[in-house]
Amino acid sequence: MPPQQPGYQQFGQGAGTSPNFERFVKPAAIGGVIGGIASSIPVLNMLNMCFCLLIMVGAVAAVFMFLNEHSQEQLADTDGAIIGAMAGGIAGVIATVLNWTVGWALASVLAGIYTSLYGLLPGPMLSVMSIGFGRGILMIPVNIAINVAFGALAGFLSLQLFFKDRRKT
Amino acid sequence: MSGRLARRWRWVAALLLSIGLLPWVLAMAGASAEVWAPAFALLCHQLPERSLSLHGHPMLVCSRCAGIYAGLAAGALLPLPRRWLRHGRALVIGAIALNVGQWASQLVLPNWHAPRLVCGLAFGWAATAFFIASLRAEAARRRRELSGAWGDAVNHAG
Repeated sequence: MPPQQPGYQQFGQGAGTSPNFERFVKPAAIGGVIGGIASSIPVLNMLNMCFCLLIMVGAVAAVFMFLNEHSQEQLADTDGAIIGAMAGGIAGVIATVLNWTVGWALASVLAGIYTSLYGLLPGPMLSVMSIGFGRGILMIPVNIAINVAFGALAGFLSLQLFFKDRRKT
Repeated sequence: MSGRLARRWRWVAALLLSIGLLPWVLAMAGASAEVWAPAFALLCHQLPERSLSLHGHPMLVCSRCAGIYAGLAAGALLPLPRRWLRHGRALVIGAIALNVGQWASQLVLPNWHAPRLVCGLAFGWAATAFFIASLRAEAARRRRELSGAWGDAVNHAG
């Protein structure tokens, strides 16, 4: 059915009512921050090696917070996936940037110590550092895409497994 | 928004398919681990003894993650049939239980790639196939609702 037909939008919205996109932003951001920071804490971030657990926890937290805030509402599967994808994307950005920043800060400290001891930073060490810096930036979009995908799956699965009574059927 | 996502389930499937194929394609193309490894480092330990090699090139993810990624691609290509949709939840729980059992068995058994790969594949496929099938079903339901509402409007105007 072409969208130009009069009344399409009106009846479309009435038929499959779902919350506005903007309402997902706050819980997704909080869930993303939880997942992102947890993924950047050394040792704790090893939980991500078990089915991207921390990214999934962030997405589940986002869905939980949305449902908690809107206690009268039910969520469609796709809404859960959208909240999860947003939380996963935000977690991916935070985790990548934090890991990269911490790595860069550590490398700078090491370079400072080396310079104070020997007076000059060797060329190979400098090139390794700059290549690592460039690679870190290049890999951010790939990282975000992977986290968005796993976040969407986690948001969908959380609705199916943990909040099935709040699912719109 | 959610309706739009459901209508575009093919795009979601394409995204999951490309992400699922990425580590396999990179390994087959012999991509440099130094360049690409950071992209997967956040979500995988990447231990060489737990990773597969393709044509002599080590994969950028461990064998279980390789299975999960392959499962994403398989689930995007082969979603659950509609009549199996109600069993999707049980399928995902079963796949998680399978992985937990296999993980526990590693404490006593040697580290074999095949069971890790198969269990990862089972989880990746179950989750993605269920997700894509649900999106497809929701898209169909919304299409029916829209055509029903449009029919009512035409009748009312007539």
